[in-house]
Amino acid sequence: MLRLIAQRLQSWLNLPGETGAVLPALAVMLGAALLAFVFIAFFAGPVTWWERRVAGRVMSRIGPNRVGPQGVLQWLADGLKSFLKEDIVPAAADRPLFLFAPYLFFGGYMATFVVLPFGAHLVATDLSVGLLYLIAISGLVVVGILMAGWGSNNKWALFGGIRSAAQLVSYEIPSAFSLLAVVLATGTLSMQGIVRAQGGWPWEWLLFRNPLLFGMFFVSFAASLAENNRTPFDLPEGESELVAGYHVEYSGMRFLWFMFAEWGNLWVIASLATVGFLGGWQIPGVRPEVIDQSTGWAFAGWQALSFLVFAGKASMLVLFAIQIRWTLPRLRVDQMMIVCWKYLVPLALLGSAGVLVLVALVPEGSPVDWFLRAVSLGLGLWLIIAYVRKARAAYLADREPYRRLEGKDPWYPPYRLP
Amino acid sequence: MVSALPPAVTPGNPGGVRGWVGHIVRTASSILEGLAVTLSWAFRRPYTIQYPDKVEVPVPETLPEAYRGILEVDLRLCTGCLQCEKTCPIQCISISIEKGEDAVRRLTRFDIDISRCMYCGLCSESCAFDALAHSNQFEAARQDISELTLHFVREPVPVARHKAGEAPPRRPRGEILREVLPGLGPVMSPPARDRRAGQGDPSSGEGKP
Amino acid sequence: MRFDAAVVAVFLLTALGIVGAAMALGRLVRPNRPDPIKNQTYECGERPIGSGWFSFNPRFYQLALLFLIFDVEIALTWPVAAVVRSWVAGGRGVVAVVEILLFLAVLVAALAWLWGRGDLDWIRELGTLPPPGKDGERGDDA
Repeated sequence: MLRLIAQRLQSWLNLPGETGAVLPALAVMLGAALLAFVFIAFFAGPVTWWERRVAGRVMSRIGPNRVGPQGVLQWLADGLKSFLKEDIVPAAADRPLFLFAPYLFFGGYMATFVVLPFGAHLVATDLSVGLLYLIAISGLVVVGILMAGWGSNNKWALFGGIRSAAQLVSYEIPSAFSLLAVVLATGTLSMQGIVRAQGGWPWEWLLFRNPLLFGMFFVSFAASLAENNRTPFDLPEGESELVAGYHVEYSGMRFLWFMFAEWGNLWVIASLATVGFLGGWQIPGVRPEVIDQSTGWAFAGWQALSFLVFAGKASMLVLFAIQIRWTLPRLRVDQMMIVCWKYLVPLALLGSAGVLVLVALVPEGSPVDWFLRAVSLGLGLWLIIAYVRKARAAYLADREPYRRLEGKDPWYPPYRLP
Repeated sequence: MVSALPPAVTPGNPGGVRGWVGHIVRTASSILEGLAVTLSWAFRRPYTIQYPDKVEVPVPETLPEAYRGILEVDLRLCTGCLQCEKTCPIQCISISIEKGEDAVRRLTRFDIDISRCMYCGLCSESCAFDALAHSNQFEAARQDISELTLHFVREPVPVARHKAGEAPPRRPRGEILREVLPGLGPVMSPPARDRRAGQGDPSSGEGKP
Repeated sequence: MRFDAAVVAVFLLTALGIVGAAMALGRLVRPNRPDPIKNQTYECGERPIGSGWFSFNPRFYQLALLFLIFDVEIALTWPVAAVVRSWVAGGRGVVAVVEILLFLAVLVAALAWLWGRGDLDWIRELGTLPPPGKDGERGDDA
């Protein structure tokens, strides 16, 4: 996509040959990067508000509702406040490390957007080793965390940084091995290739390809949550023991970059899971070739539609991650290691091996293949039905005492926000 | 997830393959259980009352009579005995009394630094004339900490010398405070005042939403 | 290829530039009033004791080694995994499958060995260490 725009720009500007291609290409790349940043800002900001609203409802509170209608502008107020705050650097800190850590943290995060496909052709560049690149480049974040932890010269920060690094590198193993199953099933490392190997309908998704991949999705998602330091794996910043972890000493805007990347990372988690397991941007009933061959406004329309499909799936996963955060308690550090090395890693290893065998033995479209798909679809449906039924039972079980307390109807659907 | 790791299973003893699978199943099912509970709360009315502007009755009015809010002093009753100043464990009250040419003792200063006051109530207990008492007000957030030093004496006032039983009644709670602490809202809404005057039972807490 | 690398570089540099620009811009509007107490190391309001640069537990080091080994395995497995499907389609499926399965089996064996040795445990007791002078093996299944 970017290459195409760059070429168009070059011919429009009438720049000659090899050297003439550099400037428009760079301009287009810069534009894409800025666009990605704008997207991050308009995702990470509102998602902090949304997370707090969800947290409020889970705790029977209201959540922020003062700034703007329903408090939607809360994130702007928070950002502005951070912007105007003093940037305190502790006297004892290692100044260069301390000052540079947020740069690496945010840089490592934003570099993942190079390969994230937002739509049929909406991707900065479709690297042939996209998935590997994604895993590798997020290693920069670990460096940023270690820099922040060590540079602060603070005991909490060092503990938090070391723990965080230990957690991030540990959970990279199950994450990578569960994605290995995806690679085995699709036969490619390119993000767009993985999406194109799936289809629009749920039974064409990798999630419902076979029961093993169904399980791998949860392993991968759990590992992703841990890699983003989200609850239940947020012990690097466990308030009760480490105050805030590696960013204890940070304040104002410098602190905001950490939070910015951390919330923005929700999108990366959700995108990765969507691309790997939920069919990415594939529109149900539309083959990708149709999109490729369309031109003009139809092309743009397909891009928009595929983006909407992708954003819809990713948003559901973001909501899911937020709900998990307000459901599960934080793990202890030894439990965190146990969950990773003794449960997720063996599960991911066995799962990938199983997927490999299935890929080799069961050709696509064969009766056994369809049987496996039916089984996993049934598993998914059963899970959803059990979830809804349990939620209903939980609601009904607590209803009477609540009604007596309030004297009002306890039923309060989410769209009726105070 | 924590509950899925029962105490019998220590890191050194995973409990065999059966135990291992059991842990995973328990983890998955308990997470599902937990998610269902949190989802069910999404459909419930939030229980919080939106303080301060969406409460039905101003919060100070719902407080019991013995509530120790910000201190206020009724200078018509103060005899200048300085008991409160001496009792205060953190010396947040400072009083000066001057004797004029007409041999009348006058209060020239009665300051209370409510930013330091810890609301222990010792001063109001020691006040034998009911001049110093706690109001029912507590919302005194200000931009500058110096605004929190209350100056009750505007111009020197002679100290009180009432005979027993002749002292004027104390002014309603919070009224004096409103004069010395600008920006404090109305101390009592008219309906609440009527209710309180009529029923004479201020601590019933009926105004609680 | 050059284009792709350029995109990555541009994204990284843009991220750094945005952070830098925001920090520089903020400098114009934010206060800067350092004082010795404010710039003290934060230790929950207490006076900080000693340096924050203490020597931490060596198990983090061991964990890093563990990670390194497994991560290298991942780097080696992924490229092979990407071509398994085409190999299966080309009739050489058995080779690919056996190859990767062997590789994964080695990994599983390594994991099992580490597990048994107790290297995956976070909490370790000094009591499990062999007394000095005995052979180098430790944590024998007593």
